Amino acid sequence: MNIGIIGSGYGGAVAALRLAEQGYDVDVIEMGVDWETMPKKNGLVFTKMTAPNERSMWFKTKTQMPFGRLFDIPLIDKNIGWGAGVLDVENFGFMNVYLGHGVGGGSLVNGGMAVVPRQSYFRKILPQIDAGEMFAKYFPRANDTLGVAEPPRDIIGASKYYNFARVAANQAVKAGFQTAFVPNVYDWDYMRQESFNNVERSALNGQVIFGNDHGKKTLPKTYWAKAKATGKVHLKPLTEVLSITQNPDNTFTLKTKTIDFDGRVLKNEELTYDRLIMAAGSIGTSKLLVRAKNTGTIKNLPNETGKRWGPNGNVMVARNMGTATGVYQAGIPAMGVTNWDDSPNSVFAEIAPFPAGIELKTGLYLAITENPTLGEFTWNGADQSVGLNWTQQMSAPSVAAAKAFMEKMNAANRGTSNRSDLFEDNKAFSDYFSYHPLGGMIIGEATDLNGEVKGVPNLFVMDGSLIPGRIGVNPFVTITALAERNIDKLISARKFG
Amino acid sequence: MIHDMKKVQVTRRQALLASACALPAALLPAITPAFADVVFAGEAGGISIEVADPPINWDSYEPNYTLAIYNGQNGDQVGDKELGYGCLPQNLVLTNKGTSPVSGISGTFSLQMRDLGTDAKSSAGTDATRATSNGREGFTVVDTHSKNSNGGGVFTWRYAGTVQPGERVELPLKYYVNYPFANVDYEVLLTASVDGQDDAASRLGTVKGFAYYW
Repeated sequence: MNIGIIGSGYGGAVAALRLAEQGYDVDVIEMGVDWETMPKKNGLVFTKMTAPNERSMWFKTKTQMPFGRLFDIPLIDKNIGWGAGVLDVENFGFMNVYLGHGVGGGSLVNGGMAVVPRQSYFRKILPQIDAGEMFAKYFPRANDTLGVAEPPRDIIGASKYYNFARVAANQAVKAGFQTAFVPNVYDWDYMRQESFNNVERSALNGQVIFGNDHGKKTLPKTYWAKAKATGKVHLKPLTEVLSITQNPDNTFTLKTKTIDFDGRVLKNEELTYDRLIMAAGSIGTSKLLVRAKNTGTIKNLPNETGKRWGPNGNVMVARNMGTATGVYQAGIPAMGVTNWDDSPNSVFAEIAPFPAGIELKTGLYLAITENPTLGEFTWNGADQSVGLNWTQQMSAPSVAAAKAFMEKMNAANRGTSNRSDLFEDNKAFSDYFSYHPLGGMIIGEATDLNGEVKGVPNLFVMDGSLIPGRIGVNPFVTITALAERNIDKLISARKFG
Repeated sequence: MIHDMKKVQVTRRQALLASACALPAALLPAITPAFADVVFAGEAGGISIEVADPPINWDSYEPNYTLAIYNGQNGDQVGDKELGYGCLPQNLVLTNKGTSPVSGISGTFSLQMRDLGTDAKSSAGTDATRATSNGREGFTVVDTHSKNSNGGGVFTWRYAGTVQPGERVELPLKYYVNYPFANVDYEVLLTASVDGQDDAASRLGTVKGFAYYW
């Protein structure tokens, strides 16, 4: 049995490990770098946010930070070299989506916030899945394998690196909101040692969205380490899948392009697999399958292909806190503020750091909202490209919820206000980017209830594209748990022989 | 993890001898057989160590500066009601996770200081925050006056009591500085381990700056 997995993020990592444990050989095709094998440059594999280079972003000449301005001046973004860097941003007209490239996918560039959704909301968004089984079996398995841990109270309560979180939590309590300690995959004991300079610094030295050299238990440290140890996993890094063709015998042939770090093409190959697992993330998987459907290279792809996409209700907000938030800020968030009740007013706001190295008296929040609006991927036959029909109006429910939430916070804390000098067009609520793309191949709609694509035997989806547009929290634990569930059931059903 | 701390092992023979010497001779025959059921630290891995969290006011999300700091020479409390108090780990905590009582437990801990404002090693110069035991019978701390590779002051500790299976024993700490002392706001990292075990537990705390010249 010849099994191919496209993508090495959460879904791909789960599939590879569990299949390898069962004795299957799997190829894993990853368009980014295998950073575990990357030599250091200037003492680091990854870069600090304040000193980006060609390793920071995927073939860009300038960084594209979530916000590029400070005091209305474009101070944040910096010119960088051209290379297969770790963070990418896909620009779809109005909506920009941040992605991780490299073995480990999004785990390389996220803040590590490992949140299990409320069970009631999970049931609302994914009623087709047995929530009882997920919460009893697969969420615990995902958390355990990912190395998730609660933030320790001494660090959050006493460290100078989390003063920003304490100030924000204090103001949230005054506004009547609930606060929450948010589990994370960062090694908190490592962070204690970092704070006293006993070990090389990472999260305390401005590393997060361009990767962490230390401390963070990314997929290469957890799932991929175990998968590689089986000897059954064959990684093909820096290899992009250009197209997928279904053969008459229901195998799949991939046209691929392998490059070096600088982007020079090393080879073009055709690879054929008996079974194919799509794990390129919501954007990657949806784009490949929308292309295959519209160019006719895979017959019988369902009409639901590329449908019901959303940005997890992401809205970023910055507030003038009226008090010092700290020159020293850890790159890893550890607290959240919430009024979540599953209604359209629901907000779960991650208290995000703003590690600028100067006192800005600013609080930053990534608000996750309950926005029922969903978009879809589109096909442009003229230039053979895949688009996304997300508009500003579609973000409006998210902005409304975040605005009401932050206004309540400002009203309860005299001297505080929203900042509008960071985001594009002087927006106080950034409605034009997402860290959490979800949807495009919804489980039970475009696929069956185990992730096998309807009408296309031997083709499986194993990533965030299975989830319809939002899940109420940072989604990677849900993606991981759902992949654990699906691969479990697919193996039991002998879908891989 | 810190692996290079000086280890002080209390052997079964030393512990038995020390215990025997502390008891009236008339009681020895009755007590001695009970030692047969006691496992000594280093012979069993049943003891785990934690460092207690510093006290935090979770209503306001602010450190509680409630633990007094003392003058190491004369034992007086330093500072006034505002200064001279720390938000610091108050206890080492031993838990017997095994199935036999454990006695003769010892280990080490280290204390590091770091200035809040400059994020540099403490301006007190020599990691001047020290610690000793604080009232628990049988709990002793010895300042080795040496430093580990991170520059933290190294202390040995010993608990002479017996920890029963499932029992959790808090060993309170008392912090002191030596005169003269001056420091801006600073943080403290306490890292503790049990002899014979590789794992270490650590917690940090924070102290408002104070000067103690008089």
